Amino acid sequence: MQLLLKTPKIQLSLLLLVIFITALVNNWSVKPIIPLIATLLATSIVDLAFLKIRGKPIFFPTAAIATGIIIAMLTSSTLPLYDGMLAGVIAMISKNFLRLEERHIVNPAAVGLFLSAFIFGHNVSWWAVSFQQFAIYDLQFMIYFLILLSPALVSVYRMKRHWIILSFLFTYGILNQILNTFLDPTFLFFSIVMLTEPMTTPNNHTRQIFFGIFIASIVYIFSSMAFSAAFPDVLIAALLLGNILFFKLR
Amino acid sequence: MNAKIIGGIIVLVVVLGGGFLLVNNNSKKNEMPVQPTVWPTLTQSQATSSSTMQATGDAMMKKEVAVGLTASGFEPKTITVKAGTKVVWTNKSGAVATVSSDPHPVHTAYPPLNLGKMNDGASVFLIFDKPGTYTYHNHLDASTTGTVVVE
Repeated sequence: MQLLLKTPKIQLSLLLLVIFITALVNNWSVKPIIPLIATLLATSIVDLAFLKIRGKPIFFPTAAIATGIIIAMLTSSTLPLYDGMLAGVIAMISKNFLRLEERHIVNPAAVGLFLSAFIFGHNVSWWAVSFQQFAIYDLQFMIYFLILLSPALVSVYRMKRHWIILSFLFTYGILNQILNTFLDPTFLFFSIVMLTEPMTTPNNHTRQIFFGIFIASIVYIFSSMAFSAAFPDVLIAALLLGNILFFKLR
Repeated sequence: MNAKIIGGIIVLVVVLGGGFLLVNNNSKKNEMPVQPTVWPTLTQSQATSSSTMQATGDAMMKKEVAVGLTASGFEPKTITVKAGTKVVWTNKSGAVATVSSDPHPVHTAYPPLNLGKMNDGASVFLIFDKPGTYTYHNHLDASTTGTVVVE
């Protein structure tokens, strides 16, 4: 158990759970708990089944748990249960079978969220990382969100992925002539938790900077186009495109 | 090999981004200006009116138009108003909601329309000074959308 708690994915999962709970408290609703359990069951069971099919040793599905929580945090609880569960299944298909050179190509949570939203015709919600939207009278929400995210930031620094976050936020802020991307909880969560997934991002610092600049530029271009309404989510669309294009540049 | 790929990606981004900026700036010059002259509008005050209105007609005549947010969405979903009209959104959905500019989740089409969070029963408002079509959504339930057409 102690060993399990030391794994980065379990630490990330615990952090995500705390943010999930603060979102529940803020929204004063327990409705998202059932979708969370359903999504966690879907990702964990399917991941274990796929490991078995691939003939890999069965281990505790830490990555599937983190992916399941991220999906539950970004999928509206007003949607049917099968919506988040399908996102989880797609994520695990991507993690186990969309692979080259023993690594998955795209961020599993991102591809699951994107495709399920596309199939069912809705947007990605980001509900659990939205209530902290910055306003002077809501400063307290932003402060505790930043405190909650700080362990993830330390973890990102240890994994040496911090240049991705910085180059992404700076580039996007400059392109849009706004600097409050640093105080937008959706952008912070996306850049710190999703953009830095170690298996799908470059290791080299220079490439990380280019990766961050690329994603920010694509988000800017996509979100300024009329066809952006056709995407379930421009942030996730840009991330998936970046994962594919930079796969060989890790 | 990797350097060539990186170079290619940089060129692609610069060309796409530069071209887009150029086209975007030119089209902005040719289109109507969308920046309002007033944007001190973030508030949690009570709405002065709780009634919803017809999309056109009444709304065109008034200097203040109310839009309600219920469990079924923004009502009216589309309003057409004169420039200078104050639009007040009141949350009657029973849950926390936002009025946020499209597109979701970046909210960059018209930043003044990012009015932030409103608790159940609370209101936010914005005065629209310039003609144009402004689309928005509830960021916490992005399928809930609305449009303000300013003439």
